[in-house]
Amino acid sequence: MIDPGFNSVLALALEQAINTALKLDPGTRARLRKLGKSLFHFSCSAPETNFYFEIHAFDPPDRATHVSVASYSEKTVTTKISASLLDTLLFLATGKLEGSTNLVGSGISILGDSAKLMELQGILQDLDIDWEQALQEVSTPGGEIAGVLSHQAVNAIKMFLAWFNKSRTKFHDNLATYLQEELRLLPTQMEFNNFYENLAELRSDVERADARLSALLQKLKAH
Amino acid sequence: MKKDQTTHFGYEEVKVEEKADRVAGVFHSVAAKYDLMNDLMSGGVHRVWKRFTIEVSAVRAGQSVLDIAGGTGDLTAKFSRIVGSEGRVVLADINDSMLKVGRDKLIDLGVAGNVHYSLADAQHLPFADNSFDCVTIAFGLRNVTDKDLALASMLRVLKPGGRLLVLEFSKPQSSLLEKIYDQYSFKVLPLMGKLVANDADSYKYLAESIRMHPDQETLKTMMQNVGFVECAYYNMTGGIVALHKGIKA
Repeated sequence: MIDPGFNSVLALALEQAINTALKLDPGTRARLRKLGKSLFHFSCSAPETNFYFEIHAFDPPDRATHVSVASYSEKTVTTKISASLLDTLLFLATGKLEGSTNLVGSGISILGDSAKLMELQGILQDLDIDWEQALQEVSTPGGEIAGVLSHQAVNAIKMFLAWFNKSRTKFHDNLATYLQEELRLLPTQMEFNNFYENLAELRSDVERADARLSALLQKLKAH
Repeated sequence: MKKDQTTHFGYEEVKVEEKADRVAGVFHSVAAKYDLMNDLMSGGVHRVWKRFTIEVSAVRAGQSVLDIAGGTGDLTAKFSRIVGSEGRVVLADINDSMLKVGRDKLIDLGVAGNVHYSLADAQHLPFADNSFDCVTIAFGLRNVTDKDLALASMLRVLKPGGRLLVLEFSKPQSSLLEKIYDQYSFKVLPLMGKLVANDADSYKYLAESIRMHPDQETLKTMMQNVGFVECAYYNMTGGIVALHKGIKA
C-alpha cells in the first residue's frame, strides 16, 4: 500500500487540477451541478491507492460548484470503481474508462450507481477548457496586447493539436497497412476471420469424429 | 503519581512536577516562529499529515471537535470550515503563548464564530463527559507528563462512538531512513533552530522528545488499555509520523 501521506498529496494535486479546470469551463461546472451531490470512490491497484471524488453542487450565486478529492472517506459512496491507477488517471484526463463497455477480463469493476458514473464520463469527455481565458489570466495585467497575444497563442496550440491528431491517425493507419500488406507480419482482418472460421470447422470435425469413434468403441464392447 | 517520581524531558530525567514548566518554557520560546519552523523542519510535509488527519476524522457539519495542543490552529481552521455554523471547535492548549498566537492567527484568517479557546491541560480536560464527537491531538502527546492520564481524560470527554486521533512523530519503519532521520534531527534541526529562532536548545529538546515517545504499537496498546476500541494506526512518510485512531465504545 502506498504511503497515506503520499496518497493525500496525490489527492490534493488532483483536487487542485480539477478545480482549476472547472474554473475555466463554466459549461462543465453547470453539468456537474446537475449531476448533484455524489461521491465516487476509485479504489486503485498497482500501486494501491484510494481517491474519493466528492462533487459539491451549489446553485449560484452561493458558491461555485467544485470537486473535493480525499484519500480517505467514511461517507456513503455513490459509485465505487476498482481499477488500476493508470486507468483512473486516464479516465480523469479523457473521460474514457478502458473496458467500460466490456468489463469482463478488463480488471475493472463497478459497484453502485453506474448511471451516475456514465453521466460523469460524458461530462469529462465534453470538458472544454477555455485556454484563452487561462492564458489571459496568466498574462494580465497587460490589457489588449496580452489579450491578442493569448488569442494568437491559443490558435497556434489549437492548430498544432489538430495537426498532431491528424498525423497520429494517419500514422496509425499507414503503420497497419505497412505491417499487413508490405511486411506481411500481421494478418488482415479478412485473413484472420477466414483462419478463425477454418479453425472452428476443424474443431467441429474433430468433435464429430471423436463422437463416432466413441460410439463404435461402445458397440465393440457390447459385442 | 507521587511527587518524588521522575520523568523524561528529552533525554534528561526531571522531577514529574517540573516537566510541565520545562515544556512550557520550550513552547513560550518557539511560539512566535512555530509555523515558520514547522514548514522549514518538515519541508511543508506537516500540512499533508494534517490533511490526512482531517480526512480520517470523518467530521461532519454540526459536530463538536476538541483540538488539544492545537497550537497555532492549523487543524482548528480546517475543522471550523467543516463543522460550519451549527458545530463548534475548541482549540485547547496548555501554553498561553501558543494559544495567543493561534487565536490571533485564526482571527486574522477570518476563522471565528464557531471556534472557542481554552487554556487546558490534556491530563485534566475542563469539559463535561461525552461532549465531543472528535478529539485530536497533533504533535502534543509526547510533551504530556502522564500520557495514560491524558488518554483517559480524552476518552471521558468523547461521546460514545466518538473518535480520538493522535498525530505524532513515531518510529521510522526502515533502518536506513532511521539513520538519515537521526542525523537530520540531531545535527540539522538544532542548527536550523539556532539560525531561524535563535534557540538551539528548544529544537534539541523537540528531537529528543520524539525519540522518547512510545512507538506505534506501544501507543496503540496504551490507547487500548485506557478503554479505546478499534484502535489502529497509519504510518506516514515511512513511519516518521503515525496517526493513531481509537473509538470510544
